Amino acid sequence: MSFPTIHISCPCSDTPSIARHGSSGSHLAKDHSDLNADDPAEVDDDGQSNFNPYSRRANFSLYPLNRLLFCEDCNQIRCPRCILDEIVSYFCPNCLFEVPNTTVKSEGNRCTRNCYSCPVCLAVLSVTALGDEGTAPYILLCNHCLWSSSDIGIELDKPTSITAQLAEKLKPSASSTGVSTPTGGKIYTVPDTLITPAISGLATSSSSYYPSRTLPPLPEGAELSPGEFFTRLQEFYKLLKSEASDNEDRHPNSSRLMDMLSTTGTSHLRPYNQRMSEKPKPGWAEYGHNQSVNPDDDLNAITAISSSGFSGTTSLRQRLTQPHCPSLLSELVPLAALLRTKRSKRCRTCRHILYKPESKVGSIRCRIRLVAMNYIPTLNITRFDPSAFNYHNLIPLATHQFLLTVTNPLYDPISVHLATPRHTPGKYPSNITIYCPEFEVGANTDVWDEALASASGNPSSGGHRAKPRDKKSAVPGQIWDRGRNWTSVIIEIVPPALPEGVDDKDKIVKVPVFVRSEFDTEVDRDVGEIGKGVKERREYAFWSSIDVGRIGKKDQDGPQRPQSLGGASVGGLGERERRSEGRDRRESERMKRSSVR
Amino acid sequence: MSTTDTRDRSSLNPSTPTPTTYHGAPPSIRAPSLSSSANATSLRYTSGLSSHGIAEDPLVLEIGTKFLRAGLANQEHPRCVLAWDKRMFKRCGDRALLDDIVKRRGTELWTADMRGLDIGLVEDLLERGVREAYHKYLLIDSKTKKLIIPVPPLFPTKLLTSIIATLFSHFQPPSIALLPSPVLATVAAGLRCALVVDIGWYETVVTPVYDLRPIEGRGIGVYGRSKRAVQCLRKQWVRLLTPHYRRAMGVNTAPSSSSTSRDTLPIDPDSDDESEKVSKIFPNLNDVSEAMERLGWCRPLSTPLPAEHTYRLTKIPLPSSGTSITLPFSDLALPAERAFFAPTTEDVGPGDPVQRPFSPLFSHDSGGAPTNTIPTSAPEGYPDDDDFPLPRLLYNVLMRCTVEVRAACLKRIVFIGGGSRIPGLQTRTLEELQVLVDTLKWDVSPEARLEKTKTVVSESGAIHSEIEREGFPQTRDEGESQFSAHESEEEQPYDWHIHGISPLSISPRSTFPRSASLNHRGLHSSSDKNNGTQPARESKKSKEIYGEAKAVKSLGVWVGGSLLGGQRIQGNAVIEREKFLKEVAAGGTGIPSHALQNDIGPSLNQKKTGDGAHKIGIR
Repeated sequence: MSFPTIHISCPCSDTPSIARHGSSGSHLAKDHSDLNADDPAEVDDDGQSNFNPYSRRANFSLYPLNRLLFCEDCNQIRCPRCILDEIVSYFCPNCLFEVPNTTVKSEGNRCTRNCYSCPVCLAVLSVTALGDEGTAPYILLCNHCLWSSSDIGIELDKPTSITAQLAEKLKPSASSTGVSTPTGGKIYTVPDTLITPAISGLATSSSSYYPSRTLPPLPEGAELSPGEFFTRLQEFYKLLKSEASDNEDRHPNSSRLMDMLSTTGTSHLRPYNQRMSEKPKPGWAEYGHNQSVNPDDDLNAITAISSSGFSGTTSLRQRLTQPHCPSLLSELVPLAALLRTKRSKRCRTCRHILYKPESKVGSIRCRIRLVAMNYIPTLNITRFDPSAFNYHNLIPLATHQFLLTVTNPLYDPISVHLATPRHTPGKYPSNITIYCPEFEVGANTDVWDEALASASGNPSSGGHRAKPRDKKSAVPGQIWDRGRNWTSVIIEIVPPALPEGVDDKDKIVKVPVFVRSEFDTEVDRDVGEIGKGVKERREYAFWSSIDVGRIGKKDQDGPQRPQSLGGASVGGLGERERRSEGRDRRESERMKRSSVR
Repeated sequence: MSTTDTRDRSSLNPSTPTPTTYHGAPPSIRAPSLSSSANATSLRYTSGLSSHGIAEDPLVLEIGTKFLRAGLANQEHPRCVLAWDKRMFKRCGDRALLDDIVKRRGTELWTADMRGLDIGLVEDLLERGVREAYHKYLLIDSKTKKLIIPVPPLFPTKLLTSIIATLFSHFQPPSIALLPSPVLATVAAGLRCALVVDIGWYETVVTPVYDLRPIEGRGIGVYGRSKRAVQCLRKQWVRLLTPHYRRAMGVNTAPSSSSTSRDTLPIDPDSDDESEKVSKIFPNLNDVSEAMERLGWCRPLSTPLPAEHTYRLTKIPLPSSGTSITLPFSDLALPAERAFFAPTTEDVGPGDPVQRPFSPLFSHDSGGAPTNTIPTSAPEGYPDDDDFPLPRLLYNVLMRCTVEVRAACLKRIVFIGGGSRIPGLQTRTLEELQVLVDTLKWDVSPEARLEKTKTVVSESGAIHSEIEREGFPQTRDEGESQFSAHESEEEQPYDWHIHGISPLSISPRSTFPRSASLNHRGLHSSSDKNNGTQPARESKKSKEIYGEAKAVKSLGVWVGGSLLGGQRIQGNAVIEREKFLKEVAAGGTGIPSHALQNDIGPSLNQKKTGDGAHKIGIR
């Protein structure tokens, strides 16, 4: 985890469904009644709860600024959750071929060309020739983990049309012995073998109505592969359904009669009988080739696992990526590359398009791109004292000063109000103070303006840039520094001393900051000349969460204190160097300090 | 329109080899829900193509506690199976997730305890998972496809409402159809009746399905549940691995060094009843899950495992701690043994059942349980209502069924859920169930059953204690002899059955005046007569008379949804977006009432009053 990071909370984080609309202005992530009481809601004087970055749900509503879009019509931030995606085009990320929509519908979501990924490590497989001079046979080889298709006994004759070849090789051998599977799926005349003896038996004798009593023994060698079983089931249900509708259309009375005769007279109790199952037997039929559980299969599976050991079995993750959930490594098959999409994004509320890429695969241009970065002020936080400082080891109970810089992307100057609770809402609250919570940020004018202004010594823009790096000038109530379109203020944080055995989560100082920016802008240009020159007040407001750093330990980290006080090394690297320098010096240092105390 | 549809469907047919349709075993890891309120739906057949016109294949979303399966109907496999894991909890833009955020809650989509459940978090998670499914795998616009959602029996309405609300508000599908998941599992097995055993994450739910309708009345919906599920299994795995792990980490363990003996380790890694440091050292749960998924197996009773496999040493790496544990392969069957077949999962020493507060009077019948309550429990530890071993649970449910349903279901047991993937588990369950059936028969007369129960329970208890005690497997022959030896042995822990107060002294019949029970009695008294007169033939022909337990493979709930969805069959609970949101905003559940009541309607009141007279099809 890197520090410091700044995330912005999208206002859509309210429970989506339940009539909680209307809170559009200030967006407060509400704490939902959580009986675990893990996230104690801090309530303001006016009854509004503050945003709690420590809450579990905060993880779902916080986004980095670069992930956010902005809807001009709703005047709000839009996060990936509150936009609707529409697919513009499909392409394979591996071969970068665009796949037409119809192909995706018919062939599925994977590349049908030669792109395959390793079933073990998910890296891309390359076609490699085994023969001399690059001739057949070919295998699919993973350059990362060296898995190859020969591991599962597949060698290809051609380096092209791998999908077809693989499908041929992977076809289960059982299916070849059984009834030839009809191709294309257009089966309107179901082969006799599909109609089970159960059905035919039922049709002849109504006495054996109840299927369980007439369930035939499975014919020898009827073990079907799941794929084939699925196909047959599918056809079976299709047949059932067509017969059902036929019967219903033609002989509604006779089917009813049959039903009455053959059943134990309960059909009138069942409402839905009027529909499907009121036709005669086929509705009652069960598919005859049920695959019963065989103890021998279980035994084989156990022995296979035993002989392959842990390393020969598939991991949970590998299993999930494979459609047939294999348990042994030897049962893994290469996976065709998943297609990707280019999507345009719409605001969920007003349906305006926020983002629209060009449909060509190679192009990264966009037709429409309303990103939040161009609308809302950007926050940035740095250590006030730029010298060595370890964000991963904030010293408890010491005052840490940070520079919070607000950058304005707009062409109008904005006035910014920062608000933060006095303490962070976590279990172990840190004290937060913002020296100057209200200030102006200049407009995002031409860069040359600043250069020219500073050259001419204009005091209005660069006047505050006096006495840099002087801690004494950090006066509460005043901004620290200001540039063309940015202003920085000092934020002071005092982390608490943590007891032993604190969760990692609680060690991190997360500062919720409510940012509100107001500006006057010209009214929409479309209004025409009447609106020209008329200014309108606008306001953006959002919660953001700043991860400042991790609180270190107070006593045991004594050696690191001098480092933060002014060592020349920077960050964790310096710490490591220091550590390698040898312990003796540190020990003596510690001894010295403790004696001073 | 029709031509395009034909083309689509033909090309979606799995017999066409596409990269997504490799043949193989069905994915069947799924987790069930916990239930506290009634909600179920039932099938209703639309009258076919004529009524609906031709629509595109709907989308089937199976939302489980551990996994999300999503895919188009008419396909053989879901397009993606996403696990609710740590990744899902991550903050956008972060590289890693701090472990402890999910430590207390677990990564499951919802928790077993609905009271402490943060519904908002469930919605967030679900949104994230479904969005990933749409964007990475389904690659379709969410607004165009109808949804089919399998709903487990007695799924909490609150949770269902929030799931549907999330889907509607974030993805805006035209409609959502709810289908009962046991029925889908039945359909995917090619059956119309089945006893669907869903071994999920939090609990195992047994639901009889008769003529494609799930039966939840007669107390089945409530009593057909056991906490013997995968979570319980993982606890047992932790228990198995912990002593070895501590040793591997160089921590001195208590004298209970023998790996398989009943040690007093706390099963729950989060429980910190002891302040000692050692007791807090547990193997990483992810590592344990991985080992459990990869190496777990279950010992079948009848078919012996070759000795070279039994004694083979198996190395279990625990990557997060950098160590590994080596165990004989036979030990890896112990967790399943303890989790699914042991008389109780409570951590009680075998010797002192007396110390547990136990009132045989009210242990099982306090809830006004209907006629067929099986008051018999295990020899030790007296399991709770939700702690029945798997075979016993199946037997209990079958006992609560009417005769017709029982006859149909016994031959068609369908195992689904993540636990059903454990090799050997199905066979073992069937074998034990057969023993129960052969011995207990379907006898409701309390006296007769009491006698028989003793022998049976002692039998199965003996098996367990044997395997438990040994740890190391005995060969087949030994097991057999011990099995038979224990048959005649009288067990002390049953004393309370005989000269304590029999739990059946409150005759359930008296508290439960129902025609069905009378009916039942009548039926069975005749069979009793048969039994009594021909005891010799009975044993020979028991399988014919009392049925033979058989299991049928199912392709899983998702595939069932795919099959039905592909035939344009919708549930009778089709929820439209506008209507739903309006109802929810008005404070309702948004789920149509007929989805709860029509056809099967095991509403909560019925459950409480013990009125099982939902339409079971045949009386």
